[in-house]
Amino acid sequence: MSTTAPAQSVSTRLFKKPAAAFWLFPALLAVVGFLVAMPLVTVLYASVVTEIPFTGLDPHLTLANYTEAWSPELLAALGNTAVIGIGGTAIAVLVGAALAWLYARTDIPAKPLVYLVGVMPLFISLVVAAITWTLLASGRSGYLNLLMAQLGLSWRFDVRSVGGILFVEGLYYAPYPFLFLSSALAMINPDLEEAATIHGAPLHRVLNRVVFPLVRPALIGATLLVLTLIVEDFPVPEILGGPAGIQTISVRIYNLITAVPSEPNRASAVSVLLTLLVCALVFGQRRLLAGRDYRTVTGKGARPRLLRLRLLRWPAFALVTAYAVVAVLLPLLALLESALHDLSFIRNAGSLIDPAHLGWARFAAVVQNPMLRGAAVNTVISAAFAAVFGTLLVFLLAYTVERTRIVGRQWLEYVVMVPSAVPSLVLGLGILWLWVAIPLPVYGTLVVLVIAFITRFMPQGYRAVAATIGQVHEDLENAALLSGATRFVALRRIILPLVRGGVAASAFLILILSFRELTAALFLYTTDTRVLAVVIFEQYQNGALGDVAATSLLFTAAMVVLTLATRRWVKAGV
Amino acid sequence: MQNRTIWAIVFAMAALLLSTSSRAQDLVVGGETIADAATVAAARAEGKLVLYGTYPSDAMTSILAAFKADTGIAPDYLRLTSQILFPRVTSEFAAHRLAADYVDLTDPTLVGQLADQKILGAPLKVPGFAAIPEALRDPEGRWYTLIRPVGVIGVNTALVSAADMPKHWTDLLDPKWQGQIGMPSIETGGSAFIPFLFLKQKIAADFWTRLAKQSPRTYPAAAPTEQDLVRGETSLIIGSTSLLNQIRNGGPVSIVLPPEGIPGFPISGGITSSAPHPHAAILFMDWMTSRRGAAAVGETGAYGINPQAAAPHPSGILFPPADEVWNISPAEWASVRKSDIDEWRKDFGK
Repeated sequence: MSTTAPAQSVSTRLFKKPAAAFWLFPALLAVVGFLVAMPLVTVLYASVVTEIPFTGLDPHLTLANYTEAWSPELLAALGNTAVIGIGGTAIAVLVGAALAWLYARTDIPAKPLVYLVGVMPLFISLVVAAITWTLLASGRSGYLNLLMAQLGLSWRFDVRSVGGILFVEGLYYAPYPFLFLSSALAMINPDLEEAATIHGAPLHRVLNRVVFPLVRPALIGATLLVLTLIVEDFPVPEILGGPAGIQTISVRIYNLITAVPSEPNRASAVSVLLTLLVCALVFGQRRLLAGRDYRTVTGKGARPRLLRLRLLRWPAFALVTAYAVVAVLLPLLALLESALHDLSFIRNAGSLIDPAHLGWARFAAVVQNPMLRGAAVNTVISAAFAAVFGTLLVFLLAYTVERTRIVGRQWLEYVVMVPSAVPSLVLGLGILWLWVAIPLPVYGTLVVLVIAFITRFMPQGYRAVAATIGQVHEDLENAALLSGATRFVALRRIILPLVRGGVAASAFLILILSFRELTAALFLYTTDTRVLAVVIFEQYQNGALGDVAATSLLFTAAMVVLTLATRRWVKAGV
Repeated sequence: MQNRTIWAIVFAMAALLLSTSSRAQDLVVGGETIADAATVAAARAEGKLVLYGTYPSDAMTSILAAFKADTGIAPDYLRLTSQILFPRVTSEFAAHRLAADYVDLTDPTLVGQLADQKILGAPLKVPGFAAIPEALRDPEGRWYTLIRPVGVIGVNTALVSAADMPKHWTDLLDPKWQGQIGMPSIETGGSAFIPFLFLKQKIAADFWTRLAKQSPRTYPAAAPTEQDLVRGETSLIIGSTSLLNQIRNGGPVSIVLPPEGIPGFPISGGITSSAPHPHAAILFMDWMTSRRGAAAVGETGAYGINPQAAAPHPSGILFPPADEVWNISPAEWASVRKSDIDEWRKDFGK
């Protein structure tokens, strides 16, 4: 790895040619600007006036939304947010990075299983995860607590606490670092590790001095994204913290909007502050990575070789299993219990498995519900289109930011990251205000859901692909260009196969997240375009927790099948 | 206008007249005339009805099934909470894209705003308009409080013995329930705000300061409040009749309707000025304000608007007569809302 700035090469010179730069950059800026900046501008506008846009009321300019937003409660919420954000990110990155390294660089047994463990927590939406952990580990009737009582132990779990919130956030955000790092790690030239080992470096030093410095862009990018997402996350602190009186910034914003009387203008002001914070973090990330060269995939061929764990093989596998049990198996068992048991009141551990109260009736009812079937079709269609077009968009964006010298390309990265900072409820409002006003036959169709999903998950998709593009040396493209290939052919035949892992991770993330997305859908769905998340939310509001569990389990099963079926293609190029 | 066009219009009108006079009749159910033949015919010709509402979807679905059985029209129902529905409706209306024929909300102030902005701008005086209490309808007929769930005490019967069962609202203040009471936070909206006003004004001025000493658990919404009652994390809650769902699902729950009275949560709505199916919407309003409509609402554990309708008795529980339900007028709601919410926050240290 060299630490000098990359020399200007043929490819970057080529991109200075007006022809290429002139169409690509403005086109991307227009698309991203339309998707992200317009809703953001609406939110910015709402933060400095007295009424929400498009209500027909007469707005006055004011700064009171900003000054009134500050209160002692907000300070307490800030404190909680900092603890949960930092703690949750630490857990997620630690777990995700360890899993990614074991999966991509070592000879750990049962690799398909390790991959599945790495991504599976994504299949459980955060709403369902929070409800499930409430069932498992809170109060007298938490399943784990019933078990503790049965065993005569006095210790009780309580996820309705700051510690519980950061634990659940950490568990369910670990797949992001896993996905980003496993594709980045897969691309490291094993000669570098080999060289260090030959010179006598022990494993921890190889990791510290060779492996992690090389995947710094992916690591820092993942950390930044996870931190932002946890800070913005609403369902987990609301569901777990609500009954315990714990508030975070995102819960404050949500309360400002949903409170009666609603204060969307003040919520917009807090959102603008949160957005500025994220922009500062992106700026910090650019500074951290600036002036270094992370390109490790060069023209020199390298056969992937795996580190042999030897005696540590099985202990490592045991650790992976432990994470799988806590993050996936226990919650799925809790969902199964909730779906099979005909009563919500469980007196003791024995009645958890009382056959008189267990049955498949809920699954039968859920499968036969015609509304659910229609919603499943809508969900598959909208998520698939969001994944295809979203991935195409983030690939072009990442390529432009990472591989061209177009002036102002850094701004694209800030704009792309904005949706991760704007609370989903505020973003949902912004998207509604924008798309209902645009005189195209889009609003009220599945197309507007696809657009909303792409907007919302652009940061996740972008992060998944950006770091891997940064790892590929331009020489490979240049060789193709000099041999007479067009840029499109070079992209398709050289770059795309090399960054396949990142592109696949990006498509996978956008697909799953769109499958789960509730808030944006709530503002935009119609009776013809209902999606699964909306149906699950209605079941929850109807008080039918067993139906929520049964539907979520069927959804998870479908995702597992899909993941296993496409794993060969998704497997990050290992 | 060309002759051919005029003839076409005349022919179409004649055909319509002929078809309605030959087929349509007044809508009469159980001896009650609900709507006239012309409304029924025009509604059936439209054939569709789109409702945007706040009443939970399973309860509304059963009401709409009864409507379909009587009229042959199956409405599309989009269910959202008031806080999301209000900006959706105002934004769609401003863009001339409001798909709804009818909109209702749980917050009377917001309903008033919809009327002021002429979104609920299709005034309608239903049959029996004069007999409906004034607090439950707009003087011009732009909105009606068609559905009123009520506040109740919810009890987990697996934890609370028959002897300990509370009978009065003030029983919640008994120290034996310390730390065992759950309730939705005031921000939840009507289902928290109305019991607050009712208990303060009707039961005891210091009710809430005393209840705060019981260290009740506050929840961000009604659903988790009920869930924790069913799980047995709390023994009692201040809840609503949506608890009937838990009873039907076999949860160890019963509801107490104290004799001092129960507060009603108004769900008020009306026809939109841009309704794509205005006649179907009128038929819906006529039906909902009839005894038949009120009975269907009653089955879900809420009061309908028709003053002659029998009190609800869902799942075998007999509710008190409608005139014993405590209501608040939209004007009073608006005037005390901010100060009372602040008072609640002070009591509960939020």
